[in-house]
Amino acid sequence: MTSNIPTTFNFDAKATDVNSLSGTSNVVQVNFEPMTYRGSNAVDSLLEADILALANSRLSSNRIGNYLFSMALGTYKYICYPTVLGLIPDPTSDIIDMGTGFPVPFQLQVGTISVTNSFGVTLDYNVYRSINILG
Amino acid sequence: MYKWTQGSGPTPPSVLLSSPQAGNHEVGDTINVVLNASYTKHTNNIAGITYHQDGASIQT
Repeated sequence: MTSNIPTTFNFDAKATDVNSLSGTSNVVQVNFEPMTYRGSNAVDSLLEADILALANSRLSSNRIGNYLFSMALGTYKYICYPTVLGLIPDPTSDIIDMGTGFPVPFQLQVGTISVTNSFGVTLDYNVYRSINILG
Repeated sequence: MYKWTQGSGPTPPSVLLSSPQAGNHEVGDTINVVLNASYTKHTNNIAGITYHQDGASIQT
């Protein structure tokens, strides 16, 4: 089984006894999710290879979440995820530093970047970069 | 005086289902889904079990 798009498959089982009584099992879910990437880079825009080289990645079907960045002086912070997960409504104020509670302004890189994963599936990615160089 | 109390009736079989492949996989990955069913009641009275994917019966 495989899927080239984010999707969920649900499996269950039904047991029937000799008296024709039936009971249904719990549902087992198998999810196919895209990879999201985050990390630091000193350049002010990313190409596909740069995205794949970012320090952290995780599977996610939701752009909303906590993004933990390692210290890297003199770099921009990047958040990259597939366009199918939508846009951040206001990247200049919607991303919050959990330590200070203040917004950390990001901007959307012009144009999407096609990224092909190790399974040969290509998805278009939104690339968000911190407006300022951060530590 | 006697009072008739209705019993709860026969209990349908209960089955637990698990799969090592449950959870998240990257798009494009190819996996073989193995479903493991275990009966918790009426173990000796099961006539059959059917498996379903998104509501549709699947061949096992």
